[in-house]
Amino acid sequence: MRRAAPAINAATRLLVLLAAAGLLGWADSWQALRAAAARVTSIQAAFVQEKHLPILAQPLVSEGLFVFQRPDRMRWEYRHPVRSLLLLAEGRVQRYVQAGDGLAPERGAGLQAMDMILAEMRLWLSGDFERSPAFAARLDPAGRVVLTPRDGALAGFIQRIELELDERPGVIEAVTIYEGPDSFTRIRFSGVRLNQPLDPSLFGDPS
Amino acid sequence: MIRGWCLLVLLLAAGPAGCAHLPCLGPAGEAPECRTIFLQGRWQVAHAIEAVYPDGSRGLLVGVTVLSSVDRTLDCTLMTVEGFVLLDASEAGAVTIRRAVPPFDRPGFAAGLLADVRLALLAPPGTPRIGRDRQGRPVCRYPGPDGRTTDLLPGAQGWRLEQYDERGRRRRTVALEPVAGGPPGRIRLQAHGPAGYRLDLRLLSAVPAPLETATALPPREKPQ
Repeated sequence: MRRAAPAINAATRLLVLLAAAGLLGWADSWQALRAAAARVTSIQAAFVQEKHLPILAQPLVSEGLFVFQRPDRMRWEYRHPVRSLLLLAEGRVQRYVQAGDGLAPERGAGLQAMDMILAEMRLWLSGDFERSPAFAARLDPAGRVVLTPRDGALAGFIQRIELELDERPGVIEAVTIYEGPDSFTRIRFSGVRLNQPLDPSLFGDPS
Repeated sequence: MIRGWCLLVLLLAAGPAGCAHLPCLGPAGEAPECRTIFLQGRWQVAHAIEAVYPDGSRGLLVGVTVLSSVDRTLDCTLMTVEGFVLLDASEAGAVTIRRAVPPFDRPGFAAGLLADVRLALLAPPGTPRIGRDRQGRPVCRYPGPDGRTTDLLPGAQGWRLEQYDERGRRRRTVALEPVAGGPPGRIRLQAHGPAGYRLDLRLLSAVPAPLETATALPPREKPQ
């Protein structure tokens, strides 16, 4: 009986690995990722963002909503505790911040880092990780994509980005942006709805 | 990196000149409680920070501060709403900058920001002289070692801080909106003078912080 235990454990591990590979079969090659992404026309999801810093006793938590419409429209909205909205349409990013009860354009604030992340997200959602001019992509087993900056200047801001792929083809479960070994932002998506018709006003000026 | 915040960085680094002057105090009546609005001990506080520039335009950032009223140390991290760290600095006797991205790496900016945060979140040090202003309101007056004077005006509806430089010119006004049993829910800091600016802070969270301090962390490499 005692000798059988290690064999059972090894078999269990193998089964788990095979199951994981089966579940994420859509994520075993760049080609498979692109094929899965091509079947997604729109995504809506809630997200929870945790900011971890060495000085923090507890992470800072934000909540919001993410909407993507193929090929290039995106809405990245924070609803709590700070209201803020980023819209990507026709290659241009516009940012709005809370002003009274509504949102107003943030004048003159060009958030190039977030502009770049939104542009990158458009590539991720198309499965085109390898086409990124800013990041080199590596596909890990068990459905994880690791992006590392191609040049040193960018590495000063972002060390790497890790994407955890969902069981559902074309869906990203979580994104972690590492600014340093002990400073990172983790964004986890939930309530994902695929290929639903979207109201065009979601991408229009809210002010 | 962030064009809209350049102006604030320049203004904070330069330090505005004041115009109003240090008022004389009349005899005190009943001594007011001068410190109850400020946090005691070690706390981690997060604020949404809205900057209003002289031209009326606005910008929004998130600030996290770990403060200690015991040893009067500060650790401040300024970041975008999306969580990108723009400035990470501390003050424990001297200012240490662990991370600063342009334009937040300008000389004097971190020190100016930490001075504003210290003024708004920590009770002034020392024993105040108690008096009354021309309107008869109680005033706690704290003479600073650097020649600056800080007047604290407690009030049930809102507290006010006025800071004057060594020539008696008013440099900062801070309005603190009290919340029962907690730190101020809203703080409005006005820097006076032709290069003045305004910071509106809305409290997002306040939690007790552990004893180990980030001020003990080594400075990180400055990004290129």
